[in-house]
Amino acid sequence: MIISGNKILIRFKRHWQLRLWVEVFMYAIGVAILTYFLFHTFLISIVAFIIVVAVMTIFIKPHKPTLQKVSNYIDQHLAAAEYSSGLLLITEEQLSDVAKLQQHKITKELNEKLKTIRPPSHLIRGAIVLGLFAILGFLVNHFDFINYLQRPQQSEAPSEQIVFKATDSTQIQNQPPKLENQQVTIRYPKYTNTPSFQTSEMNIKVLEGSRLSWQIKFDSDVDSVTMESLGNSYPMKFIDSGYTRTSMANSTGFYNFKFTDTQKASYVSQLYAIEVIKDQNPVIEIKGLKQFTSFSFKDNKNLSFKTSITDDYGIANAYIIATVSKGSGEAVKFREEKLNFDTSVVIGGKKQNLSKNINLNHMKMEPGDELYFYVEIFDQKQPKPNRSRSETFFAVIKDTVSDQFAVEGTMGVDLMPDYFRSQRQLIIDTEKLIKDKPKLISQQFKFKSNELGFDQKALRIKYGEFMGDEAEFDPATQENTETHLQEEDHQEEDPLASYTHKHDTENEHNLVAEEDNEAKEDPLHEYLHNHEDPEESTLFTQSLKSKLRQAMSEMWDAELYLRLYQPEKSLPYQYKALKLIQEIKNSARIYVHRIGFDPPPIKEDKRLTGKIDEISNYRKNEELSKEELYPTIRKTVARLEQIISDKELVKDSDRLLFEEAGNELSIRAIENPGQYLKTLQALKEITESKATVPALLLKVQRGLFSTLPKPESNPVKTNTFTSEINELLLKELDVND
Amino acid sequence: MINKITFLNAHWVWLIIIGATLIWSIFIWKEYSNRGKQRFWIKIVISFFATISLALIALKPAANIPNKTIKTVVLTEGYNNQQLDSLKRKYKRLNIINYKVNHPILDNTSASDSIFMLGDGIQPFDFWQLDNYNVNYMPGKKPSGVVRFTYTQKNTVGHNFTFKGLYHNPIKGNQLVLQGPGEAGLDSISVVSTDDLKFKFNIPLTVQGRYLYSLVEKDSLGKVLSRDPIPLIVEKSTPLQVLILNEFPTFETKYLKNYLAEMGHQVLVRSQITKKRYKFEYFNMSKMPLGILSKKNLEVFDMVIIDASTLRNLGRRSRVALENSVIENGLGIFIQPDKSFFKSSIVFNSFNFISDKSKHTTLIDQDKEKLAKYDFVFDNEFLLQPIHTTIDNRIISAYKRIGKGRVGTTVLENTYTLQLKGDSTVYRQLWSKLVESICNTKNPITEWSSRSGITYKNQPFKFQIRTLIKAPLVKKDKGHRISLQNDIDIPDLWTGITYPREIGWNTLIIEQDSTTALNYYVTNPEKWAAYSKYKIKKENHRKFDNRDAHIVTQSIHPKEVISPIGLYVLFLICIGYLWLEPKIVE
Repeated sequence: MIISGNKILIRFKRHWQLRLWVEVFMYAIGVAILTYFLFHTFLISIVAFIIVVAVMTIFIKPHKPTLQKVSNYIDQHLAAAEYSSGLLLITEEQLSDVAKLQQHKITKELNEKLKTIRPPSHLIRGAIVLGLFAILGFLVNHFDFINYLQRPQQSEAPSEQIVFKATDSTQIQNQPPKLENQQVTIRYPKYTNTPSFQTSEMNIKVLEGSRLSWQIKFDSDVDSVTMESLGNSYPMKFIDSGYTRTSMANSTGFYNFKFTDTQKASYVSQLYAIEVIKDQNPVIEIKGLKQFTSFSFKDNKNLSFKTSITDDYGIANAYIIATVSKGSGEAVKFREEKLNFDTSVVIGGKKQNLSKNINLNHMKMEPGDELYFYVEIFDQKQPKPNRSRSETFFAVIKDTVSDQFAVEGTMGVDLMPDYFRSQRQLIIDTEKLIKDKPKLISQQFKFKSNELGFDQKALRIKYGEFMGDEAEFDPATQENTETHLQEEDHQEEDPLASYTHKHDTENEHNLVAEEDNEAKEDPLHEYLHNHEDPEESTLFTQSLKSKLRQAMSEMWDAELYLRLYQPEKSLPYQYKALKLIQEIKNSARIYVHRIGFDPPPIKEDKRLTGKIDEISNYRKNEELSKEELYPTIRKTVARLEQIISDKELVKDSDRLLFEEAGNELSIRAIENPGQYLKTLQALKEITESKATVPALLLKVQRGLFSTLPKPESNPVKTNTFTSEINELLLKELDVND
Repeated sequence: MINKITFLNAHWVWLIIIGATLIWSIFIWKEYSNRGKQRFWIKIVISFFATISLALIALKPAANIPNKTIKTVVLTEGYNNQQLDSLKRKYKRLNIINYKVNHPILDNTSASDSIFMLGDGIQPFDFWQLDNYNVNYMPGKKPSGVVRFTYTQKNTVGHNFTFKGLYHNPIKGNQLVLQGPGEAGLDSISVVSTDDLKFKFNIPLTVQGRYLYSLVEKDSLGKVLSRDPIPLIVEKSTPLQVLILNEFPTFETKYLKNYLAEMGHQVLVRSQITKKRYKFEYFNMSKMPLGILSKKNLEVFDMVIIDASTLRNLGRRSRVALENSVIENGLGIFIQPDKSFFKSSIVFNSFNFISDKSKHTTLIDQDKEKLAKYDFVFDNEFLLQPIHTTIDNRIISAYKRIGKGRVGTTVLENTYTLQLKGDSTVYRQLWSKLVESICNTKNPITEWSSRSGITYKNQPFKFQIRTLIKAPLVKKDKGHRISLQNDIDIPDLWTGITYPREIGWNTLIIEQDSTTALNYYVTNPEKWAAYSKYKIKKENHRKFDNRDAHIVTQSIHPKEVISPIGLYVLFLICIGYLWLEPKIVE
């Protein structure tokens, strides 16, 4: 049966496509087999299969062959086709007669001979690839290649598996019991909300207060298992074919396991560290607020800020402690309030942003009041929570009226009116005048001298005012009339106001100012001898007054000589006046000083008698010498040197020494495990094992030696051999000196 | 001339004679059946000659060669090939000998009147072999490495261990590392140029015991090239007994007594409260009465620290007691000065001061610290022993020996301010030096010393003992006794030599006094190679350079082995006759 030419070509095309698809699938299956062997997971292998199919489809394009291509291919590969297979694609109607003949012929030929050619594909290649992948996969699986690759990674963490070393390797006859399983269950404190987890890593880093339970299993029976930690040993309980021990992690330390097998041979593990992390204090960050804020009365007195709080295991509570202070000095009053944030605190949250708006009016604050506040937070730590507080922030409502507060350099002394100073100025000016006398013409000199005399008079008159003398002369007429008028108008005003420093009402600074207060009622009050007031009639006031009078009479004389154009003669009086004024100042100083010091009463009958009967020798006995640090480490270093250099064997007494040294070292190692842990482990090893390697001893000695602190310089007694000849020489030297 | 013939194997003469007699007698016994005949006697005679010639071959006869001088060259380690070549060129007949330690250098044949020695030289204990020869020492190159070093082998905890050395011909980039116990690196220095390198390591000693520190030379890659041992004995310090007498309490004394007491010393402070009333403070010691100073109650103390005004106001008896204690018991006195002290020397009449304007000074070993002082310095006079000097060589603290003891003082004032400033290290160093140089010393009955430096296995170790024991007997730790030689002039000085056999720490003890012993470390002859070569070289120079070339004690003629060919021929003829004769007869 002859199939029509067109159909032949279609069949051939299908055949071709099929072969290409098969090839694609062969690659894909090959890869899939390999991935399965590698990962032992169907899913990965199916995924790989799909990926490879997709990729190969793009490359090989199994849908690619079209009829045109098929005919081209047949033309090229089959001679019988006579380059005319293309004719088969064309319907008979479109062909010429010759072409029809040819078409017919070709159809016939193709029917017979088409089986001799095959569509192009790489089935064999595909098969080979498939086979190779399959074989490779099988080999990988068979020789456990994956594990081989992963093994180096394991060896990088050798601490993973507990390695037990026999303390006496010579006594071991049987195969030692092997460790089958090791694990630590770490249960963090409840408040952390951290689920308990297990690890086989024996160097543990845990939160303070965590419960640790170790479980180790052996493949054969062992006699007993103990856990040693910081010189103590704790037996492990036998539960469920494994040995367990549970403890609470409270401090950083080291531990190791030790077991004895049924033949009483003991084995020791390496040293492992428990590092205890402390629950961190919560952290507060306050944004958008200056440390110090001040408002005036009219302002909108709102303080708003954002606080971000973080904690490692959750916050329990957060609030603001605000203190309002009212008044000043002794009348100050405090009021404390606890404010909550506007946004509520999520208990157990690790990071939160809280905001708060404080209206000072709501805090019942008035002008002059101050607000101090800080944020305080607690975390969930049990039993005692960690507490953090922010720095304190201030807010003030400015007072509408406020005293100018000035502090003098010599406060408490320099409280006298400025007039008292101008005497010195007068002296300076007088001296200058004397100095300039040769340069000046006589008239100028006299004028200046007269001027000074006038100033001296003005000064005296002002002092006179304090003394109750009447002002006979106004120095600067216009100003003076004004002041006089004012004085008359405002009798109650303080005439000393401009000469004294005004202090706040309560005034705790000095006593002189208190007198100023009294002066409010009467400016002359303190300088007068007021007999009605018994307190006024003190010796002090009297002397002050008389001194001032004396000073004024000196000023009189000074003025006299200035007026007589004899400034030289005036100077001594001016100095006397100045001295008196200074004394008045100093008397005030002494007074201020005395209130601060209350000397004990002197027993006059005992004073300066020179009797020392009741005084006795005093004896004191003290032990000040410092304990030597790390005595056993020192001993161990020396002993190790002996063992190493004399090639001695480690004795039991040495082991005891090493153990003590280990205890001393572990105290330091806790603080600085990175530096000392290796030494500590090696020390443990030489303590436990019966046979020791010199290299290990050297390592321990080096480690221990480096822990010793630098000594302090200390004088010592030196040895000198003295013999007759030396003594003779010294004597000879003495004689001839 | 026959008497000039000697036998080189003369020490085998008896063996050879017995052997020869034996051979001959066997022959006689073999020929005994032919006795009585004439040929028997001929055979006997001929066999006698054969045996004799054989014996003579074995004895190696040699004859002196008169009128012929042969020069000998002794090659020791490190010789220069060029020197040897030029010698060979100059002298045709050159006898070359390689030196081996502890072996005979010259055998009988090689005797010659003048010897050239090339290389580093021979060990000092082999010198005797060349005593009668005219030796011309031609040293090779100076060895490369650490050729000289000094350090104190016996030290005390808290003191500094100072190792000074000279590295000759160093290799650039190399490193010298001082290693402590357990090969812990303590200090290092790297070589930056090829010039001779003087180096100094200064390490505080922390632990007592016998240690082997080492000096390790590493190349730039950190590979260890050599490791040479530095034996070190570190002893625990013994506390001092210090008495402090003060007119009134001062800060200076307060800090000083605290420092001394903290370091574990026994301190008694007596400061006056008022007339005849005192405050006694006892640190680290039990209470003891102390009224008027007497020689007896001062006996306990190693040192008295006394302020100038107390010293001035001391009663006559107390003063005499103090002076006697210094002179007879070796008590140390440190005077805490005050202003007037410098102007009028009060006690012991010993110190002279010159005024010096500056109120501050810096000491030579504390050059970073400015110290307050009185405006005086010591006048450098005879018998004054400086303790602290400034950079410009002015004496700040000093002492004088008075009898057995020492009296010292300083011009420093208010040193406690160092403590307040936080420079307590400087303060401690300052005072520990002061106290140590003035305080009383221990007077042991025996003092050991050795000048050998590094001790090598199987090489002589010389030691000296100064002892008050009349006839000391020194024993090794194994129990062997070592004979001692007494110095002719100094009755308490003894010397001895021992040849240590074992590497490691060795001990020598005196039988009469078990409290003291000499510990010395014996090492491999390969260690400290450059050092020992340098030392040998110096010894060889000392031995051979200064010798007068002309004093040759006896004229030695070289000997030459007489060629044994004649003897061989004689032997062959004799044996040939004995072999042929029976055949001819038959």
